Amino acid sequence: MPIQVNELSKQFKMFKREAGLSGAFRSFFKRKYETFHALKEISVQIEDGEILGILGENGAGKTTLIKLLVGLLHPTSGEVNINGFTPWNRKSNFLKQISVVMGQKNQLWWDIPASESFLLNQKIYEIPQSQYKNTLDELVDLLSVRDKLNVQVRRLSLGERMKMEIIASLLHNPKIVLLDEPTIGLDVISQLKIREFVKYYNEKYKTTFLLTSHYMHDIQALCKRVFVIHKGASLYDGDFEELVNRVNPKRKLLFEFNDKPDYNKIEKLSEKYNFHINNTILQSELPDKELTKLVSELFKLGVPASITMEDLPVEDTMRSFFTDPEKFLK
Amino acid sequence: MKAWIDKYFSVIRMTWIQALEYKANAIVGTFAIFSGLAIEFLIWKQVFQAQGLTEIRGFTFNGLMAYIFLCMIVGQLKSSWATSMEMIDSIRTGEMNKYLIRPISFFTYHFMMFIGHNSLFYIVYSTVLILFPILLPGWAFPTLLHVLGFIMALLISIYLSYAIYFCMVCFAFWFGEVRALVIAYNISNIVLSGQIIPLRLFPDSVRNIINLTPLQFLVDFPVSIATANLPIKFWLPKMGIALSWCIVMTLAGRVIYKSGIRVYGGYGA
Amino acid sequence: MEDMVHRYFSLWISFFNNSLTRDLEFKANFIGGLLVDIIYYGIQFFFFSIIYSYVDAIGVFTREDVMIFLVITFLADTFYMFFFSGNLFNLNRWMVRGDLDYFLLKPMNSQFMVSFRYVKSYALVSVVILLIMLTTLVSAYSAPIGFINVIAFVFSFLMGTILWYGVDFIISSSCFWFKNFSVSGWLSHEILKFSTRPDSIYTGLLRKMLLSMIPMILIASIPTRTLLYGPDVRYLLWQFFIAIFFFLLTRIIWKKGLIRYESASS
Repeated sequence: MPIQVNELSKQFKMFKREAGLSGAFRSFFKRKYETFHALKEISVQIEDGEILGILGENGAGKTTLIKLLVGLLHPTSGEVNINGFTPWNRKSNFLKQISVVMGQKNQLWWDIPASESFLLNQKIYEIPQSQYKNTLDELVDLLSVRDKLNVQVRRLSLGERMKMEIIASLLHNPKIVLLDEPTIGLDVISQLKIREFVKYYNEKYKTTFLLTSHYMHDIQALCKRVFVIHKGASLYDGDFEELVNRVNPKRKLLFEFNDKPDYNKIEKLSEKYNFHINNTILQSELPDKELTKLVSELFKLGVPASITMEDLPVEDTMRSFFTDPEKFLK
Repeated sequence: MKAWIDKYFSVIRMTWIQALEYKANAIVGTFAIFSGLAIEFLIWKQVFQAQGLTEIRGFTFNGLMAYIFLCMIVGQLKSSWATSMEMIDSIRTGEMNKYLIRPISFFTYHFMMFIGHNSLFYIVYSTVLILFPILLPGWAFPTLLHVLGFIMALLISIYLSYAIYFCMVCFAFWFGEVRALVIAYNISNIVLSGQIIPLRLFPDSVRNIINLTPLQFLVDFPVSIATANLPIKFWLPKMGIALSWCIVMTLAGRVIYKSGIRVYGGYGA
Repeated sequence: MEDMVHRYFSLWISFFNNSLTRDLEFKANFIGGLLVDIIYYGIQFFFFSIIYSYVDAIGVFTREDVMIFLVITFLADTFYMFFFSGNLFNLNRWMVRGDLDYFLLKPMNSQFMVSFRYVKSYALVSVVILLIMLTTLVSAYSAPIGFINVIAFVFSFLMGTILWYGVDFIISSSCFWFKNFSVSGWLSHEILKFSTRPDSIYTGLLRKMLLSMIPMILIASIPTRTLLYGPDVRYLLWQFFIAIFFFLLTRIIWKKGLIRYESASS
């Protein structure tokens, strides 16, 4: 089910609250509103079987976009076409092909075992018994939660609960799955498990995934392509690695000399390149091309004991990207 | 002392800001009073007309209406049932840990919350009460002394009611879910404290039992003062008994709270 | 059509199983709920017994009639609670917390989902107790009550339930317009109070209102009259029309409310 989004805009009125007791008193009688542009003319196309990362700061419009794509909101203008369906008509046949997991909300009923909620979903989505059984078996084994099926949801750990939420949302074999912060608050191992699962599931069933996450590791591990929203407008649509390179093309070099190098020559080099040296160890962060040049110069000074080159941590890179996204892309 | 007042006044202030957000509360509360009164009015009108009565146990029709109207107001002013539900929840979910680790008393904090929540009602009803003798002279508040007596008795009723709720809330330390208990008390209290039918119209046997409990001081006592149904010479002795009940319930609350906090597991934390 | 009825019926059965599983988890609530009901009934009986110690009859309702009327008001209330009160009462909270989103994403009629999702299973016990009480009172009634009366009563009672659903649904759905309308349950409760007093006390304009715009008289008083004094076709037809009218109104309001929800929230 390919997804087509054309110049999608969404604005709504926001109640403007004044601070303090006197403010509250004034708002009691007269409320002030202001128009908020949550999304501005967003266009994007998503192919079958893709995992698209949707990035943006808090309040950038990610959740609004997701809600529009599943039909929870009506847009102010623009179109969305998902395999011939307009989401906000919420036709049953459309709803049976999509699914949403929101990391901060739960659809499972707190006080009863997850298996009970699964049975209810079977009824709601009209899943034939044999298909239901096979799907459930597979999912339960993949996420290794078989022994937790009959435990009340409130007694599960956060990670187990999220796995159950994911199972509940995949029982009807949806073609499109929207994951909104699926790993929020989870420990590193649970995050990894969920990431692996999404990757496996996507490859096996060619299910389209749309993913928002604050953990860049999620994005890096799963999404080749990302879509960046900034203040409601689309800012970038393309390869994630390329975005990272554009934001921070630098790589890190650690060059260890066998003996202490010639001080004068080092001095000369430091006029051309930016690095610092401590006894026999030289460190530098430079764009790829410059870094290769520097390495070849360094070889002339002496045989290295070791060389390592590595990418800067993607988490840091993206943090600096979001402090001023426009700077990096214009 | 000033710091103490500041601390707890800021709690009240917070609830005001919250309360102003929800003006619907005040509107529905007022609607509840008037629709409730309308129903009582119609039903008693039928009773008086059908039997051709001019008075029932000393109540004229107007006197009865004034009594019921004031009862509804007092009943709403003293009801801390919403606050009680919050307190039970905070014990049950372990959220009350945040009171335990802060220099703030669980009892007083929620008392202030309750006063704050009800402030809007205090303002609305004070206006109504001031208008009352002007619009309907002779129905209630014959002298200024009656106004003062009413206010005194009302303050006692508000405190006493809270102290009773508090004792019940504290059982949540042992049983977790005691909402049913509070709801059951709340429902029976509405009738048994004379909030819908004056205690004086009850069969004597029932009345004698109620007179042994603090229930009579919650609604019937302040309203009987306001409507001059209780001779002045009984005011002080009755207030003495009411205050004794306040002390008894406060002490009971302390004892239950102290032993409850010992068994408190801080669930969910 | 038949398929749809079957589908929604089996969905409701699933809702019920789900809710029962949960309610059985909390035995104390189960017993507590029953206890509260019994106290509430006792208090109402007490109220009317005091009133009737000063009067022989209110309108057409004698003391004997009023006891049956009371049981019918309890039955109407509990029957309604069983199906709907776990749902409409929470609509505002679902909207504020965003749980409503999950409801809307299910491939089924969303009004059905928000109306029936949670069944108050323990109300069933009270319903049974009340039915026994009603049968006892009716068989001991001073005048014989015929089979026709009972059939007409069942019809009238069901119309009353639909009506109350309509009114409560409209009040609850107003949260779409008021943003946070947490007092809707309270307001419903206050309005429902008009149905718990015999209709003879309402006269003039108020009576006309309670028979039409706010049809509280049609919820318990008319069923009681139908049972005790025999069916009055005019009342029954009127109930039927008003019930259909209110039901259609809920459809319209729900759709309008959703559009508002979809275009106003973020």
